[in-house]
Amino acid sequence: AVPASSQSALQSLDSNAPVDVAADRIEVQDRADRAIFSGNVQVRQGNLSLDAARITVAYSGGIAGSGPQVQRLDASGGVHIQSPSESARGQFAVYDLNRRLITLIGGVELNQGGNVIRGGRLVIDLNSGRAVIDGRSQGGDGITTQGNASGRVTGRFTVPQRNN
Amino acid sequence: QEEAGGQLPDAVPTVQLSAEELPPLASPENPDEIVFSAQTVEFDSEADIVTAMGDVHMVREGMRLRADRVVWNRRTGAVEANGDVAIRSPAGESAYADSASLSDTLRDGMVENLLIVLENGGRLAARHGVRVDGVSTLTSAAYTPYRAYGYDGEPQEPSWRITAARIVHDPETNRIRYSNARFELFGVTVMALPAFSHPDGSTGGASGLLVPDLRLSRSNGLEVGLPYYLQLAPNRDLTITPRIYTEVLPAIEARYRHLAAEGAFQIGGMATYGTRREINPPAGFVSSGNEDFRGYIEANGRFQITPYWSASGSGRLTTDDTFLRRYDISRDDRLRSTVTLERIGRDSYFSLAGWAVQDLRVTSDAGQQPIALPVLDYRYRKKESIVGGTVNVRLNSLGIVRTDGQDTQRAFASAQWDLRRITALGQEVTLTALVRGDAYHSDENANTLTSFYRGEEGWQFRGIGAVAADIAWPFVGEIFGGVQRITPRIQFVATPPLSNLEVPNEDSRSIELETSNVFSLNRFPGNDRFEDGARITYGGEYRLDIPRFSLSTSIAQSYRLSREPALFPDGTGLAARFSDIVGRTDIRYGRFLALTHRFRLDKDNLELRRNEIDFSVGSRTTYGEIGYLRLNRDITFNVEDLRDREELRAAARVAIGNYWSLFGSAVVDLTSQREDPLSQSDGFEPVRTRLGFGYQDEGLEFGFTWRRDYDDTGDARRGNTFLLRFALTNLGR
Amino acid sequence: CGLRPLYGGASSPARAALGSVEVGEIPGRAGYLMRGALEQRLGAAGSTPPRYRLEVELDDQITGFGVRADNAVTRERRTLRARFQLVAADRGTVLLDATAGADAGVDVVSSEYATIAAEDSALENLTQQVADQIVARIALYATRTADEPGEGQAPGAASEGP
Repeated sequence: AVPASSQSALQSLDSNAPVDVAADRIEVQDRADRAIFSGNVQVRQGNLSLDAARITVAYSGGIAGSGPQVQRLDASGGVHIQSPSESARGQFAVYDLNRRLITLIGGVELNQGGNVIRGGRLVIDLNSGRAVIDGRSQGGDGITTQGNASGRVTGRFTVPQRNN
Repeated sequence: QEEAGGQLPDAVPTVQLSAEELPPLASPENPDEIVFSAQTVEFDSEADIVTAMGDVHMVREGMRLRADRVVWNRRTGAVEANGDVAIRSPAGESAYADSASLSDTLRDGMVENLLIVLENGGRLAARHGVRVDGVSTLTSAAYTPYRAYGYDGEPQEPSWRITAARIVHDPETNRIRYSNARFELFGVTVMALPAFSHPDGSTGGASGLLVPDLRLSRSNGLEVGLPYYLQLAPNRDLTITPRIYTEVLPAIEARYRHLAAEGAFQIGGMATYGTRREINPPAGFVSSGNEDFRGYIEANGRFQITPYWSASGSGRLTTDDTFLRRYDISRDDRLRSTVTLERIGRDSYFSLAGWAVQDLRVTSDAGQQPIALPVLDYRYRKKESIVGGTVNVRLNSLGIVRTDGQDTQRAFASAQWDLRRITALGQEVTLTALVRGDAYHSDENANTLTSFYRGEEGWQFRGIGAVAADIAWPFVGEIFGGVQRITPRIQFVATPPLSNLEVPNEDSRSIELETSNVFSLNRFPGNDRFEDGARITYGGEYRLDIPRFSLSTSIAQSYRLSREPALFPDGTGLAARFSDIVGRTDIRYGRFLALTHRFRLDKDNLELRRNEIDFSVGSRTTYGEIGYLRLNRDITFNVEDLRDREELRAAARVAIGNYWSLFGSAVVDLTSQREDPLSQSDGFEPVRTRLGFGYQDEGLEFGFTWRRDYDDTGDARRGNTFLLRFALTNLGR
Repeated sequence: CGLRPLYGGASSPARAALGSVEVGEIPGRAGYLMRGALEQRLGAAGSTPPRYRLEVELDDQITGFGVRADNAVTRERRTLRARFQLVAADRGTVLLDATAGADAGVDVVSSEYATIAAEDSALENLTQQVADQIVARIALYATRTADEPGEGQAPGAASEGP
């Protein structure tokens, strides 16, 4: 079984690594420096994979120049984030590559080595490796979802085997 | 070792936890999992620390933790909880604290300003507590059974508590042990308890000393009883109570109780050495040394062998007539012993029983007391059998043996047919027909004092037949917002002449004409005498039920059509052709007032032959009761049965505040010599009075009773008895 | 004051209700006698498929008084109390929850077995009296609920008596 207290693989994620996106349809709005992928979209960056029904990618430095720099991904519709050490699920997700923050909102469930946490909102800080889950159902920028009614975070942690 | 009792944690967290504070999180099946819920959870996977905030609940293996904030270092297993911490064990005991540092078994840890609420409501408060493997060791702690807040929500001062330097509560052995503790009653230190322990009450008590009872009586002086309770097994226990007296030798009492799968039985007794004395010795009471063995034994039990068959029995026996009175065990004057085997079916009933009695009454002669063995009674009923009527078949046999008196054997078989219908006009009509055959055998009849109880010696046979018609016509109507009901009733009974006096009378001696039996087919009790001749019985019942008030009164009389002298002795109200008038009135006003008047009026001069008044007024905690009985039957034949009597009984209880109560009762024998030449009273003779006060709250009960007996019976001399009762309830028992 | 027969008329609600009451199990000797007395009275109104069930709980006490100066008890009183519930057979709702009681005096005579037999006869008479009270109370309930048809369905026409 995965060692319960292993380091989170997400911590070593390099936000500057290339981001490749696959989707059924793509619509590029060049003037708004934005591309909208829809239809079982799959995003891969290093060992992080992010699947959703619809993802809007905001990038800087036009499509032609020295290649687009992805600033932010907004995913919606059954978002599923996967890394070797954990997986998370929610209704919306925002991956801010500059601040290296992944925010997941709406019926969030985080699975990490046998531990399961469910709540309204999950913020994973890739710099410190800390994940904060709370019951609020508002996203940072006003995205509201219907979190579980009680606005509570619930879950199950396994107690690591210690020989003391 | 800290100073005993030290400064008690005044800031004991009086946490008012309401029930939904700990929503029932399902305890995880996997023992190595903690289920939790909180407002926010922070999980630092690098340092492997989980921080939960906002009404955090965690559950592991049934142990429930609740706190405002919990930091759990999963690597070291340390759980820091603070802010309204509550830990509840599966055994039902809860600990509350400001802060607690626990292991992630949630079972062990160190707690500050701790309050433990035991399953039976007892409370342990402490400044500091350590819990290892569920065993809590508290320092500068206190135990009290009282809740922090009274029912009215006001903080309440506990009536008593035990403070101690160290208290150890071990849920495995279910005991609480104190070291150099002090017992405080109403804030005053009453007793130092160097080492003391008691069960924590969760397993229904374990072995240990019970609360002693104290008694000061004229017969035995000061008496102290020290009961010791021994729990042999969850379903078996033994209580041994040595009793020490100042005036007589000590006594030993024991009671063993056993609960089996199909039933239970208990056996108890007491034994001592003392002076046995006959009732009124010519030379007055002289103590002839204490060499007589005195005591009593009693046992009873009941076993349900199969869903139908059950066996039950109860026996009581004492060494001499006055032992129970002298040692204030019981006032009963006839100790009945019986064994019964019963089979109760849907429509059949069978019982085989035996009766014996030890008569402690002064005036009785033991040789004359009957032993009834076997008493067989088999009943079978069949509905809708003949012309739609119900048939009740009954077989009965009785064997009476007397050590030096008449022996009688009897067997009878009877079949009774009842047809009950409601006519179109609303009349309840009941037609009855009875046929019965008796067989008797008796000898030594001459030994029976009362001549017409004897019957003829040897074999006697009797056939009984009876027909009856009974019509009751209930009318109902609304009145004063309630309902009134009038039910006139008339009954006609005819029985051919019977040979009553030829057969012995063993069970039809206690004749009493009342509203409960005036309409019975046979107004004699038992079966040995059966009313013959034809008669009409008429009467009526009126009942008024309005909100909070009800009145019901009934009255009846019977008229004998046949002329020959009746079998009833004069004075029973049934001797002449017109019977006495019997009646009864019940008045109820809410739950506050109840009056019952039962009477029998002489048919000629309407004089009260029997007058019983029971009156009670008041609530459950403050009430007054009066019971008056006057029997003025002036029975002509001189036999010691059916004597006249007059008595007044009174009792009252006054609740003062919600803990104190004052109570008193008196029994006064008003029988005058004229009424009953045998009576020792001269018209106003108190028999027994009792006066006392009591205190009771959720953790403490004590009471003082002064009882005065006005007559000596044997060596139980008249005089005062003072009982002191003191009990710490909720002390784990 | 409008007195009318409780069971008057062919379709009296009281008569119909009595016929459709089934008596539940009552333990003990007193229970056997009580059940017989109740079934005899309830059967008087003919019998239709049971729509009510009658649950009865008995409490039987014998107290002694008339205490003579030498502490001998001369009188006993046997009190039989019944707590009974009328339950709707289909829905199981408790329609009527009331008590009934009666008592009889017994003179304590010299022969103890005669006193025991008198106590036993008192029990037989008491079961008859308490059964009368229970059945009358059920009839009264049926009459009053029939007046306001809202509560419970009005009992159907009962089969005619003899």
